[in-house]
Amino acid sequence: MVASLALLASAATTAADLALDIRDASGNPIADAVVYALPAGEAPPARAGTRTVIDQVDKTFVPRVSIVQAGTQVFFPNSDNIRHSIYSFSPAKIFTTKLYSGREAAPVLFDKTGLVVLGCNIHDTMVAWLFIVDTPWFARSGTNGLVTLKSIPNGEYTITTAAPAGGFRAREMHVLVDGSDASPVRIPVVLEAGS
Amino acid sequence: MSIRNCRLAGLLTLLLAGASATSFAQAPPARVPPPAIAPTGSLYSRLGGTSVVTGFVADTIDKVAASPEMKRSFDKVNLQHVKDMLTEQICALTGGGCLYTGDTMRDVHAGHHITDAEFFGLVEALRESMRNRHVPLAARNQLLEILAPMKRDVVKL
Repeated sequence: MVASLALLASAATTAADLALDIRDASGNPIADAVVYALPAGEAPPARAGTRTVIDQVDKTFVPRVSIVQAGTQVFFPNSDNIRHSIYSFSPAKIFTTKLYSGREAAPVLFDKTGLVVLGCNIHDTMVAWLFIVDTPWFARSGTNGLVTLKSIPNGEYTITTAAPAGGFRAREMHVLVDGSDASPVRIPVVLEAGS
Repeated sequence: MSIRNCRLAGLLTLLLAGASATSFAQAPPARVPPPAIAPTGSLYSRLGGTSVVTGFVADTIDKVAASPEMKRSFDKVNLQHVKDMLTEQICALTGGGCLYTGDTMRDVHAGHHITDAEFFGLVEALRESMRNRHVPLAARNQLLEILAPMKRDVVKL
């Protein structure tokens, strides 16, 4: 569904913060939802050496949901004392990497956009979701369902909100960002269940 | 035993409620199964070949994974993966013609702090499972002799 939304504010006039309030149909806040803003034109690419960490703790991935810009190296430090064998069959990155106890594994480069679902060959309850997007403007919601995209340059954007860990359907909105508007707004987003 | 990158055995099933806004685009590469007919004269054939070995391996893992003394190492572990790899390893070690594609015993057990009691518990479970499947005494003992040196790579790591 597409909704045109009002202009948003910030101290600068050439950019604005986008604050969202993400809830389910019953009004409960949704944690671990990712939000990203795709500009109408080209977004700046990821700086060389951009990296993030997805850890393995007590046979779970931490964090469970991540979002990175294409070109990011992901490190899997394996804080568990036992080995893991991480893999994905998602088209954006098909790979396996062994994480041995006491040995540091090489990072994995994610350079194609898409959603990557991670699993472990050894511990089949382990699952994580990794979004790879073509924009540096993204964030993840906390337990209160609130999230802010900071300093988005003025312009038109498609904002996508996704929460796969809870089984919600992703949602897109079109937003015009204009920092010269004085009134701050928190955009409510309701996600529906289903795939 | 040869060391290779572990091949992916079986599809992961996502059982989390409401999960999976996405599905896997393709199945994992197929594991090469153990042979239908065991090479003549091999210990593998004297153990009973693929159907018997697969059977007593499954029985052994099910038993230890349920046993109060040993089950901690199997918490959240994909038991089918363990069974596939152990069957493949026994097949490779006993002349069955398989290529073992799993990790070394050291890498598999590192960090688990397996005790002597747990190790011997698994050996006992294996012995009993083979007996229940009517594996002859000589073949049972030969397999256990082959596996015994692994203790130093399994215990207290």
